[in-house]
Parts: sequence; C-alpha cells; structure tokens
Amino acid sequence: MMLVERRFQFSAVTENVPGACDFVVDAARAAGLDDRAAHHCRLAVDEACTNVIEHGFAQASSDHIIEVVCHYDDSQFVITINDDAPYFDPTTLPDPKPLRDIDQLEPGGWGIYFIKKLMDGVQYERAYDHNILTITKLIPPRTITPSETPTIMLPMPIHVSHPHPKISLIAPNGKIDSETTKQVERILLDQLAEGRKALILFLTNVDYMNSTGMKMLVGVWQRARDAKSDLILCGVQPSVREMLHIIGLDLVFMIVPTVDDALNAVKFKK
Amino acid sequence: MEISTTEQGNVSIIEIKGRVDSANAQQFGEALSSPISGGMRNLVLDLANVDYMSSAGLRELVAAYKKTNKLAGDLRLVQPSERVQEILEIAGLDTVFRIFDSRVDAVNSF
Repeated sequence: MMLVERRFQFSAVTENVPGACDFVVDAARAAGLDDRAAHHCRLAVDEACTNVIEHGFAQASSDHIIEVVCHYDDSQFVITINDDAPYFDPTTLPDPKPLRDIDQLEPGGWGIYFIKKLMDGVQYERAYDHNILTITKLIPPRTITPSETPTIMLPMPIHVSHPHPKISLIAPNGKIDSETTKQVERILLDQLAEGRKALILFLTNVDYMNSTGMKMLVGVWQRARDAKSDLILCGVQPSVREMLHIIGLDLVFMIVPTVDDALNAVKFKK
Repeated sequence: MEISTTEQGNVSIIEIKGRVDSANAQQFGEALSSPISGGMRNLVLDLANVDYMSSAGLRELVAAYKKTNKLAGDLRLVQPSERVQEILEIAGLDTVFRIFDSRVDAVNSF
C-alpha cells in the first residue's frame, strides 16, 4: 500500500479556487476514483475553500495562503485543507433547515452540508494556529460491471452451472486480480466443499489475470487434487495463456480449448 | 461561463454555458437579476450546458426564485445535468423549483 502525496498552495482568493479544484480532481483520478467521485471531490474542495475565504478570513484574504494536500492509498483518498485564518470550524454549522418555506431559507451551511453528504468523512481540527479540514472519499474496489461509470458497486459476475451434478462450470467475468481473486476462490472452494468431482473454469471472459490470481489457482488446484477432483481450464484467452506459460502453470493445469473438451476430459465415471 | 438572454413574450430565457462556482457566482446572479430589474418576472433558466454548480450558484438561484415569486412570477429550470440535479436534490431544491425537459415546455408553462 503506497501512500502518495501531492500538495498545492494558493493565495486565498476565489479566483484561485477552480485551480485548486483541478489539482484535486487530477489527484482523485490518479487515485482511481471515477468521474462521479472526482466530481464530488471537486465540489467538496470548492465548498471548503470558499468557506475559508468567505468566513475564515475577515478581509484581505489574498495575504493568506490555503494549502490543499491530497494523499491516497488503495482504499481511501484524503484531502486536507489548511489555512491560517482565525478559528473556524465549518462542521459546527447546523444542517440547512428542510425547505418547507423558502423564505426561511438559510443559505449558510449548505457548503459543508454538501461536503458531508457527498464525501465519506469530514473532520476538523485546530493545530499550530491553523484550521485543518480533512475530507475523505473511500476508493471502491475495482468493479467489473459493463457500464463505464458504475454507480452501484457489484461483486464480480461469476456464472456457475452444473452440466452434471458432480461437475461445476464456473465462468468469471472480468479481471482476476488482487480485488477479485478472493471472490473466484470462494466459489471454487465452495464447489469442492459441496463434493463436486470436477471444476471446469471457463475463462473466455477473463482478459487479465495477475500473479495473485495465479497463486490462487495453484492453491485451488492443490485442494482439488487432495479431494481427488479435477480442475480444468478452458476458453483461456491468449493474454492469460501467456501469463500461465511464463510461470510454467500451463504444464501443471489441464488446459483445453472448449467446454466440451473439458467435459470430455473429466476423469471420474459419470 | 457564457450567458445569453432572450425574451419570448413575457418570459425571459437565460442560457448558461459552463460552470457556476464561487468565482463567478456573482456574475451568474446578475444574469438572473437583470431581467427582473428590467421588469420581467417570468424566468426560464436553461441549464443544459452547465456541467457544474456549487452552493454559491444555488444561492443565486434561490435569490432569483424569491424575487420572481414576490412579483407573482417564477423562475423555472430546464434540463439540469446529472451533477447539478444531484446537488439540487441534496439541498431539497428539486421539489421547490419546477424543472422541465425542454425550453419550449418551460416557456409554455407560464
């Protein structure tokens, strides 16, 4: 888990806020956040910096600097906004009242309300005469949904069928990597635990498998062997085939072209 | 941000292109208030080309809404993008403003 950090400082005037937002969006995309999440980050930084400029600094805010720091790892994107204005904790502003009567509308407090609603965490602290606002966006595990900007996080689609009561045909959809390996492993091991004598892993919709996935398959293969069950790979894509070959696993695993070939290769008496 | 304003009968149509944030919210507010000062009280705001709006922009929307309604008119919205719709919903404004799929519908609603 590498912690990446980027810093951006700017003179505290509203004209500079869009530039700070661009900086954050850039970092958010680099951290792996999608368009929608990056947009939320943009809005959060816009609102937070605007609050500092409009409320934190009484006047002559251009004499002051706001610093925005983005740091992230695999699981979260953290934005820290710090300034040297007098104490100002935006998180204590009350939530805007429900809009039953628009004349009663209290425009103050909307900014921080948006931040709270769109981001996964907001915290304020005061240290060394600085206001420090820390805003977090969680980074979801990579998804394999067909749409380009998923708004719902789904587990990897893995289709399981039984051409025969003792045979499982398992077809994962997407990349088998550090995020999804566990899901695939769970299903394979469950099938073994249910007493299936052959696991056919149909990989036509897997365009990528990394070493974590390979290791997992080796583990499953060993468990299958211990259970006197077959593990057969079929429909393997060239890129994955090449990876298997480089590691030498194509000599260990039984790999056949099609599902029919796999069904024919199953050893136990049907 | 680009602003263009036209009139159709007793309705003023304001089209905004670009983003509305604290840096240009005042300008956005003026685009809404100047037809009102000119005697118009029925406003249609076409948001189809606004890809971003922060709370600063919403405040101007609300200010213009209040002004037009006080004059027995209204401010109605056309085609807010997904992003803008999201913050309208969080602010609870999606139930306050009348929102239309097309300029024609919005203008005809007056």
